[in-house]
Amino acid sequence: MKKQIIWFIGLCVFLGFFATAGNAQNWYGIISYQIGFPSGDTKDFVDATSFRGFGMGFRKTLDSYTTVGFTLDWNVFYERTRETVQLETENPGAITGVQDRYLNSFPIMLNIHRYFAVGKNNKMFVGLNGGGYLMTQRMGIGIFEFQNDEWEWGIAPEAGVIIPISLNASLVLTGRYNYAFTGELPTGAEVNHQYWNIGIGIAWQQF
Amino acid sequence: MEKFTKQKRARWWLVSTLILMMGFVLWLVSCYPGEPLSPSDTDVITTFMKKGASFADKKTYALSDTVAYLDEDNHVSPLGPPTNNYILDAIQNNMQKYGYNRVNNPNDADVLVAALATKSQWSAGTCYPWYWDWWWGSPGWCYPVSYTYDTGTIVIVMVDPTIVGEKATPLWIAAMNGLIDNNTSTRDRITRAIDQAFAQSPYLGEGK
Repeated sequence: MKKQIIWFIGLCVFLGFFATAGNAQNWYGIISYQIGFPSGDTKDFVDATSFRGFGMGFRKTLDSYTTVGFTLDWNVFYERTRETVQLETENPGAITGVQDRYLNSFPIMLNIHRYFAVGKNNKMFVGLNGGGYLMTQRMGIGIFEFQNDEWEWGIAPEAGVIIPISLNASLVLTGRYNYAFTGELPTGAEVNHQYWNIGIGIAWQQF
Repeated sequence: MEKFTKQKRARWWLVSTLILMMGFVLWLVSCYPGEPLSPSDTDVITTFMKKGASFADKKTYALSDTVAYLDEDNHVSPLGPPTNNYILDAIQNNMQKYGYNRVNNPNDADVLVAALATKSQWSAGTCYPWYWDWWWGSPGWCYPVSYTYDTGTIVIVMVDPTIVGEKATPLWIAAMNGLIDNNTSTRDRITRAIDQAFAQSPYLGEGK
């Protein structure tokens, strides 16, 4: 896992250097801090807000109002709980113990966004991300641990606001809903992971 | 020249922002946050009931006077005091709370209850890698670490003495496991674990 993180961060830095070499009128880069709110099946597994989130994206203009691009994000959900878990086994059972539940979500997606002018300089945008999530899940109970890492296809519609703050930079505020079509918990139960994001970031170059 | 200066300034502004963000990420974002576990935090209580079993007509029980101890060579012997008493007292208190009456003669009991205890020693190890060697393409080396730890397990079994043969499966099983630590109160942990086993099995008290 640590090596995967190092590769992910290295990839972001590497792509960041390339962003500065791009034509300022054609494409843009965004880095952001994200807060995640679990919902649905994700909330059943980890019922805690994630304040550990990071995102990086690149967008290329198609015309004055449309961009296409891709995004790489990372959200960490964690909860320690002592609740009793009912076991859906042939003979009904239950298990109690201190549980550490982790969900590391790495969305890797292509996207398309549409922009609308708001006021003199600000812009609002709506868009759709499509691709998948690398979900790394771990559930530790007592001295036992269950882990499940898998790729889950999904989508993530989003909307946001861009506020220019200088000639070369803009403040970006976003809200996104993440939904995975497939998924499985470390216990084997099939789920659809879903969570909300709000993000605040910087875009270098103006839209 | 002015355009080049602006591009260079923008590049260094971007690099600085990226470095700050990466540092922020490394500081704030970790894959597996959380506090360390204490030995009592490792206590796990699991219970199973036989599918379709009914406890409404079970009013009396017989409890073995001793807890069987299974050693590492699979030899069975009586578990001595005081742990033996901790376990039996906790079972008796919870059975009484659920409305069961204890009888001395197993032939007069609706269910038979027995407990088993065992201890295991585990060995584990890992090797912490040296990342910089890995980055520079060398095979690298790692720092080996090994450790052992003891775990204790208590199993409580409840059976219906009228069911024999192939269908003679337990009506209810409770298994408790946790790290053995000389600094924590064994009595408290055993009592808490057995109390929890009964608490998550409310069907034991149905009809009483």
